[in-house]
Amino acid sequence: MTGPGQEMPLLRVMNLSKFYGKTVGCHEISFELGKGEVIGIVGESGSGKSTLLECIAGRLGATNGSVFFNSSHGFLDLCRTDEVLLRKIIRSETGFVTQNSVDGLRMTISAGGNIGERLMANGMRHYGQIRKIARQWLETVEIDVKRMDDLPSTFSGGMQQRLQIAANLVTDPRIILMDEPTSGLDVSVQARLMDVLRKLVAGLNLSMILVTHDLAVARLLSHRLYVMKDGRIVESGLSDQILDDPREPYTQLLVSSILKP
Amino acid sequence: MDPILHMINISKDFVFHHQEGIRIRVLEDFSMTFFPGQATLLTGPSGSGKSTLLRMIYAGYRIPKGNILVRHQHEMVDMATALPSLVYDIRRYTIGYVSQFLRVIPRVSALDTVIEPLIARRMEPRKAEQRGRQILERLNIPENLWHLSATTFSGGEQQRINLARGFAAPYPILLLDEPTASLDPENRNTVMALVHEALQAGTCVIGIFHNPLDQKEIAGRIIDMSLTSGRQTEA
Amino acid sequence: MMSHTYNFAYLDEQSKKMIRRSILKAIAVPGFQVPFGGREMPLPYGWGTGGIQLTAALLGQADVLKVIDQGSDDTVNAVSIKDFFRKTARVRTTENTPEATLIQTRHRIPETPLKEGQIMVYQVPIPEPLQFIEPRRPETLKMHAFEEYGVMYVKLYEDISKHGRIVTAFDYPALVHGRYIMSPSPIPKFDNPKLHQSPALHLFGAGREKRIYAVPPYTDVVSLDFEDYPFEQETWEQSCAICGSSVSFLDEIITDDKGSRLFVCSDTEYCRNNGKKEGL
Repeated sequence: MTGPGQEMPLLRVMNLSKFYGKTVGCHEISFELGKGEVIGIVGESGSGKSTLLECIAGRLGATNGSVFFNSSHGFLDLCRTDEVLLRKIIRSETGFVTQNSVDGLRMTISAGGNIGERLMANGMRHYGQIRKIARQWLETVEIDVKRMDDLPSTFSGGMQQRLQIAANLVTDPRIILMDEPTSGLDVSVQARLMDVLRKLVAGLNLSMILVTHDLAVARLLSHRLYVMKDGRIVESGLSDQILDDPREPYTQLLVSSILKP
Repeated sequence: MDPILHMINISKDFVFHHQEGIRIRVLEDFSMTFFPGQATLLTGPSGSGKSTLLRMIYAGYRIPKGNILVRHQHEMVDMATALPSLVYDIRRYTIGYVSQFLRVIPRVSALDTVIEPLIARRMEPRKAEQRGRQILERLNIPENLWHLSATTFSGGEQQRINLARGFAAPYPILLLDEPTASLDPENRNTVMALVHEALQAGTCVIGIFHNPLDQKEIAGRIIDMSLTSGRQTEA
Repeated sequence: MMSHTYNFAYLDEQSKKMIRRSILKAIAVPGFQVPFGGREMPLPYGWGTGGIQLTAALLGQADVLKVIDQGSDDTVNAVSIKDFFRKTARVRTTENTPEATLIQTRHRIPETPLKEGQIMVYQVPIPEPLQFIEPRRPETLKMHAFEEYGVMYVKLYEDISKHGRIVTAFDYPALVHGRYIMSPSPIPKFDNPKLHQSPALHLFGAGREKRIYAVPPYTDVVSLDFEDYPFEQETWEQSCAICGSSVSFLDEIITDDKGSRLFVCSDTEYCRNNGKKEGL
């Protein structure tokens, strides 16, 4: 998708497949992501979108295909990178926000500790400095700084999600992957989370892959959309193209199924 | 003068797979050339393809057949085949689009909604806010509403926010879909003035105006979309 | 009447060889926990089976064995272990630190500086420093392999945020040879600096967990801390009530119901010698 003379994409997924025996998780997925772009992957449950995201994140081993990432160590295929380097890259240059905060946060460590963990893992050894950075991030994601030493188990779902985002963005990753960030959240809480994300994307020129079944969220945050069904990409295009001019039967079904209040 | 927009042999069908596969042909071999500072009005009954045309110029609808060439920073770019990053750039700097209805985002203030295109152009926030206030004032949005989200605004107020957002930043091409629809006479006049100012500044304005008075006032060429080949008639 | 004869130092030679191989591996990779085939010993887990297996594998007839427990040569455990090796190996035992070739210890390092050629054997309950945050062994293996030690610092961070200082007082984690973080066993943090660039060989045995790790002579052992919250040893307001030392680790002893207390050296042998020096 990038033409000659154009910048390297930040991410190039090529023919990525994940099989569980004969069951298809995702099949022959290819796409590119540029710097500052937000891609939404939409589909219903069972579409394979979460599987795809986990493969891209290196949390799940792909069966076939490649995930080229423009890292600080070069344009590497994450599926074929040595595990030590892979973990280092994932830890500092990518972020992953899980659907269920319990999987993405350390619930027995304070909010500040959760945010500081990546900094400490990357060698920061000044307590005051760590605290300062954690405080700034709590403010950015609209969590009351007074709750810095509280455990995430005392936070609401929306706060936990925002904490996850802060904990992932603290090392200034090149890309952040989000798996159903709004699922399970009340609508007003969702609105706040979306607002925080929107500002971060705009302010940090953040690249993001967002997996969601919520088309409103997809429209609000994504530049482009990929529609998945049964492990395959059914249609792709600019967000307004997909949502206003759906071409494929499945996309039309998906778009027309939302109730508009 | 060089044209700023070329539409060449544009056809557009809509297929409704879940309604027995009905196929509706909205545009057929439509071709037209547009120039800077020129006003073009699209007329015709609903379903004749007016909105579709605007959306296709913006690449909001796909362009399956034909070319839509836009002069973007001294180069002609085909919206039908442009890479997404280029389309984003064109939307940010070259083509502005005011839809019929404001897409309201909760928690975002009216002012922030209006100045978002300016911020996207990396304008200094204070300057952007100044400009935003200026245009909100012109469109008679009371100051006490500026910091509120437009979710609770009336239809007319929402549309004026939409318009303010569309006119906040200058564009070489401006697409307007029924801009005066829910406005009272005073605000309608303001919008007309804004359109004239844009034209004076060299903007190519392409708009859908239902009101015959609007059509007369803008004095541009009129394209009657009810003729599927998009036959052009003079104002 | 049946009489039991044991192999020298209780364990069979094959077991000793297996343990020695593990020890060599541990020395080759300082701070790395080497799994070993722990044998059944005549005392339950939690009583020093790891340390005893190390000692049994290393003892030779010419060795002189010292055993201490919380710094004392004369506690029940120390005495029992010495008896055990006197019976099964007939080695000479001593309370005199400089004279010992092998010192088995629970929870303290002797105050008297160790020399080249001496071996310290530590009894370790929990060899894994990451256990508190990650109970899964496959995960901790990866964390050590990939040097993912962020969580260790997170623990210290949490201490400071909750208590204003690092509160870990014993089994204080340390970085060995710039690579692996280890639990130095429940010795007080006061003793950690003794491991750094020590001329002696330090071996750590966990019997229940079946792991051995080592700090070879003259190895860097740096206790974890923050730049603005550096590692600090314990201090006391008083000196030893018996020998007057102000540089040794002191135990606090409550002397009456009114809460009066004394501080005395935990290392009884050191205290005796120091007292003699001071002429007390």
